[in-house]
Amino acid sequence: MSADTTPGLLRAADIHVSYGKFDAINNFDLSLHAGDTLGLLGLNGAGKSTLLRVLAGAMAPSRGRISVNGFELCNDAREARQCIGYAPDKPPVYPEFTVTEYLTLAAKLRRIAKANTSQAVAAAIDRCNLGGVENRVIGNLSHGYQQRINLAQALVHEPKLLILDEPANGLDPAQLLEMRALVKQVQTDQATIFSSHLLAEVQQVCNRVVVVNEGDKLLDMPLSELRDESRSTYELILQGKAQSQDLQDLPGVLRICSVDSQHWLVTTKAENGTATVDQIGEALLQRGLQLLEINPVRNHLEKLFSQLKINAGNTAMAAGEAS
Amino acid sequence: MIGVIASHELQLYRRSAFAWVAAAALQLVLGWLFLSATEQYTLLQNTAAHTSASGLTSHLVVHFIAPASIVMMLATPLLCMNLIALEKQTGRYDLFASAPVEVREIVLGKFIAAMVFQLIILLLSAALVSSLLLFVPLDIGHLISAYVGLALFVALATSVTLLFSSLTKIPALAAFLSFTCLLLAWMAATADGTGMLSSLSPSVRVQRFMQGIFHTGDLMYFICLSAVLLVLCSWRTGAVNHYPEVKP
Repeated sequence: MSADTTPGLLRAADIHVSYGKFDAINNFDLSLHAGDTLGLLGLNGAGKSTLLRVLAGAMAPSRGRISVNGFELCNDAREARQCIGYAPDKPPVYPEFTVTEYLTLAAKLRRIAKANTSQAVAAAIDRCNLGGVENRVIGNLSHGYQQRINLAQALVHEPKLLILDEPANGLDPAQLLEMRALVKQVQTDQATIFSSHLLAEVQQVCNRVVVVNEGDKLLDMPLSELRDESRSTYELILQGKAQSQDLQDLPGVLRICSVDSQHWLVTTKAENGTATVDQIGEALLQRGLQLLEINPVRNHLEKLFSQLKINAGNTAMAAGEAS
Repeated sequence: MIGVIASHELQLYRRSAFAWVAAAALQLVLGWLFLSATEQYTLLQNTAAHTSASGLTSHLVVHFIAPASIVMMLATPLLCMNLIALEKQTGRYDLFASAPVEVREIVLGKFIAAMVFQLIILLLSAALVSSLLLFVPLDIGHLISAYVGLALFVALATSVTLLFSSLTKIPALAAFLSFTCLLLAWMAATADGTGMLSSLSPSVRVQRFMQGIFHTGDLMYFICLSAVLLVLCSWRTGAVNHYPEVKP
């Protein structure tokens, strides 16, 4: 057991989760560095919670490897989990406990030394603005407070990696602002993964985004790219179906992202402008793919997300008609 | 860490209305059994003084402590059904699963807490028997043997319930399956106590403890079977978050 020297705080490689014949997560790779605040975006049922449970060590993948701060979750589970703070979407609270009692339990489970427990609990209470309710029974508190308690239990041992599964659920606007401020407080030696199905939420809090759909990683990029004037993104609508390898080495293309086999988002260098668009069209034709439309996209996250919603709606409608 | 989890579970028992109601109901049933056993003994002494009525200790063991094991066969699944099933159902198990805690520590902590809670109930029933010592002499060795047998059976029933609690997210189903399993095992013994099924059944072994016969084989049976069930429970509980081995 030894911590490796690579700077990555989280390295997940080839993560695959299947329930019988259903694949919830497919060959997912993810790496996170200190200072990263990663937004995990996806529609309901996209596989976000499953992925976060796996990364938090609360559930094992069918295959793949995960290391946290240099410790493998399979071989050095205790050390790896010591570095993780996980707040599930459903607060894992005991309604019959007071806030302080519950956080004390969380601190003990995270193996905080007995002498430091009350100090760590007080710090978590302070950080999550739970002062004033610390001696109240959790069952009598609102859902918003329970979400904060959930966050406090994840923070109590000051983890290197904070994993928050939809922490904004059930929060009122004021609490939402507080929660965002809290997530933004990530220190330079910490990293946060934050899942949401709200695009605006992720854009306000995170510096990197990963979009997940049906267990596949559709997009992984720094949010600064959205504001990068030197890049342009286009939506390609093809007549036939295409694989990612068909579009992999298109001329001038920096990044491709598939919504489905007919809808693709490609990012190019802006200076090439229409020349690149023409080249892409020609290259696609040479590969036997007919381009129906090519549209410039201002915010490809929004475009991707709205297309995902349209696809999900179409699938639901088709299922309804079939039944 | 086992201590942390055990004390947490005891806190949950202390704050659970269901646990208090179940403990009160158990005391009521055990108290009623005790009173009817002592009353029956008094009547026997008054009406048939010449018959070879057994001593008070044997009478209490047969009419109070032995039936208590049947009562506990029903009570233990109800008291322990929530231990893992409810944690998984409510999502609270994630608090443990993502913490640097070994699965065996979780299972052992929960087992110890459940045992402590049930032993407190049994000790209160033992206090009823002890109160007789103020007035009549009793065979302490025989009583201790009977209570050890009862405690070992409760440990076995707790392990069975923990295992079923780890197999489902529905506590009531865990309780039902545990009770059915315990009842079938209890009834598997033949009347003469011979044969393979009888040797596997806990009833024959509990009976020997109730007779005041302390057999190390019986002790080992309860300890080993409970340990195997706890290992299976740990294995099942840990299967959810046991990461595939990675070759270096």
